[in-house]
Amino acid sequence: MVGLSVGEKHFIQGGIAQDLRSDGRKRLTYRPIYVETGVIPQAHGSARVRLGATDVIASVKAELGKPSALQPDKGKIAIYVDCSPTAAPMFEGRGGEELSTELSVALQRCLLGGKSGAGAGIDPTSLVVVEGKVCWDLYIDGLVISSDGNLLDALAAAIKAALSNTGIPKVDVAVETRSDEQPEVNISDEEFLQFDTSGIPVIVTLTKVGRHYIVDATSEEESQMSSAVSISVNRKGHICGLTKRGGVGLDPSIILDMISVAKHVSEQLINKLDSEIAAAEASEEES
Amino acid sequence: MAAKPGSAPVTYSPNLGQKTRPPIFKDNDLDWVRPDGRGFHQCRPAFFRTGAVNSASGSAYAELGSTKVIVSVFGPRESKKAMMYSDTGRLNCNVSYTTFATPVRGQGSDHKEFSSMLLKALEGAIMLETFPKTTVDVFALVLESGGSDLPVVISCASLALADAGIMMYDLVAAVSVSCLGKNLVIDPVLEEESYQDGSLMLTCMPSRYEVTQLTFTGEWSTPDINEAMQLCLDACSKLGKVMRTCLKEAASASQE
Amino acid sequence: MEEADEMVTPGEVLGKATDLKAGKGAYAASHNNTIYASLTGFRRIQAPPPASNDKRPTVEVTGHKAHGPVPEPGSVVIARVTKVMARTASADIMCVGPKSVREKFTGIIRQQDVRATEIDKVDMHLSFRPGDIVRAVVLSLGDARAYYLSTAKNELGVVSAESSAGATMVPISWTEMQCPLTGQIELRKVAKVVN
Repeated sequence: MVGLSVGEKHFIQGGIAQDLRSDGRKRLTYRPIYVETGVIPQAHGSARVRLGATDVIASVKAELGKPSALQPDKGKIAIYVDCSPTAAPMFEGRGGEELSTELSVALQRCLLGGKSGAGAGIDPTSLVVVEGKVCWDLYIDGLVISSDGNLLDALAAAIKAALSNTGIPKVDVAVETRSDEQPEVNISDEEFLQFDTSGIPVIVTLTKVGRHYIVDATSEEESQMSSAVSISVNRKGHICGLTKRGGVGLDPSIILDMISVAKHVSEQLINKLDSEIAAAEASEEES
Repeated sequence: MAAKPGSAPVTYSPNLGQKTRPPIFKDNDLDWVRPDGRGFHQCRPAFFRTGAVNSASGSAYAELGSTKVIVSVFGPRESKKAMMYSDTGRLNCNVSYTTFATPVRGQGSDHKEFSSMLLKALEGAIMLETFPKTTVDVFALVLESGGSDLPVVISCASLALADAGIMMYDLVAAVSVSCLGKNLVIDPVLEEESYQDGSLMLTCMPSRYEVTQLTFTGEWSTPDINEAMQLCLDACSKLGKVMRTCLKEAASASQE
Repeated sequence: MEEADEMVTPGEVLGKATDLKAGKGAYAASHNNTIYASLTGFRRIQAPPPASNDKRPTVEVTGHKAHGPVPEPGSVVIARVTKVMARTASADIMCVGPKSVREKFTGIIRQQDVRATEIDKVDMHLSFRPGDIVRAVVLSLGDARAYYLSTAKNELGVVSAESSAGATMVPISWTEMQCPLTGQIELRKVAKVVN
């Protein structure tokens, strides 16, 4: 928890009301985003995203598994977030569990789409090797290293970057297997398949402080929020998921207004993020 | 009440005339039939009853179609020792499934998620400062999972809180909408939920017209969101009326 | 001035804040100046006290059950002493004001809160015994474990106690109680019972 004096609270609230926040940003300006890719050699793909003092890592690991009986044409994707005690002492032990679950659920909701897979950022059918028998299980793990607000947006950006960094080994299937047997597979060491990450949405969290809402809130600003709405928007401008935090009720018209603002902000964010990811990939190849 | 289908399995719910919900819109898209024969924008008949558990401070039972839920509220009581000190009240929510709630035994999932969603939907409606330092426990048990479980749990829990005499800004009504292809269907059953393309759940305080919680998954365009939210808000206000009738009946029955 | 009783539920509009004041079971929302009910019960309108400047009548919601009472700073409680230690005594709160509690609440009386004078010379064992019924006032919400109680007033302290012989003792001074069977005098922080 952030301990603020009455004066500091007034300063933050007053600044937001006047569209000039304590770090000089406007209400709808993000902090500079820094993206690094390929930070974890053991993973199939990874990225580190820094947003001010917020620092998160996402890693993607793929394992061969069996598709579930109910959905034989789809691979499985799991998203977990871990809050490290290095970020804040309160995350130690079970302390970070609540926040971790909240973030994991929000990311799953925003990135994985509906039950049928429609609207998912990652197409689960692309993970299938042999229908009903072999598929890739994708494990996406997020780690919060340092927290200064707006974790959800940072994690979503890191996952997007990590997925564009991911190469899944090409799999050759031995043809001559009977239908009731598990086919033999051969995992290639050289050939890797890339993901199409253009459909992966970004998350824009609008934090309501007083009568206004801001993007990319720092933890000081988050401590003053009445409620926050996280909206995930893809490149087409479609909403892929939404979660609300904070108990205070909102008027329905305000929510609709927030959605349109988020759509507007997301365009710039997607472009910024794409260029950062491209730059990070380029610098990784150079080194 | 047209929502009572002739062919679908009927519930044993004592369908008192005013305890059902009128259809929200007329059917306008008839090329596809819902499993229980309802119109797309037609909710299941809702049945609520307070005072389901004697030992609790307050409790409620809800039944929408085959979704059956029971919620007990305990407290306000002393917070557990392990918790930190706080000068306002606290709400503790827990959602669990019976082992026979789902088609496959003991396969109820998402409880932790549901618990935190229930907490978030309710906490904005409760005057936490009226019971300082103490905790109100809300325990929800899904007896039978028949689709739209979480919205039913949330509505039922707000009734149980009202029954316990916890001060609230307003009741909380919750409704979900599933997106199947191009169609929006309200109050989906389990079967519809299993192949939905997207879903939207909205919880609101009907009298104050404020949204306490809103989630959606799947890909939505802005006009769809508008339509779905409008549907939910309308359904919530009607559900709220059913809930109020239930509370008033229980209160006047206890007076006699 | 009483209006006909009308049943209301939480969230129902009771009136405008310009014409009415919110009483028990009601609240005023600042953003639209409306008064809503926060409990289930009957809507009652009470005329304003003639002395006050505010001429708005008060609207209340009464009748239906409210949640069990919760100790708050300033409320007078009846508690049973469970444990006496060198510096503190623990007690279970049984009543808050005139209402009995439904759940268990723990309070502690610290040495410095037993009486108003010579607070550093208090011996806890000569003030309370386990089983005593004490009237106390809630000083604060205390810590995570217990409410802080105080008996530092004449009318606060032990109101009922049993002697070692098992009889209910009679207070004979503000520090002494006597057993009617054996005549033995035991020391307590006795409450002055005001009628």
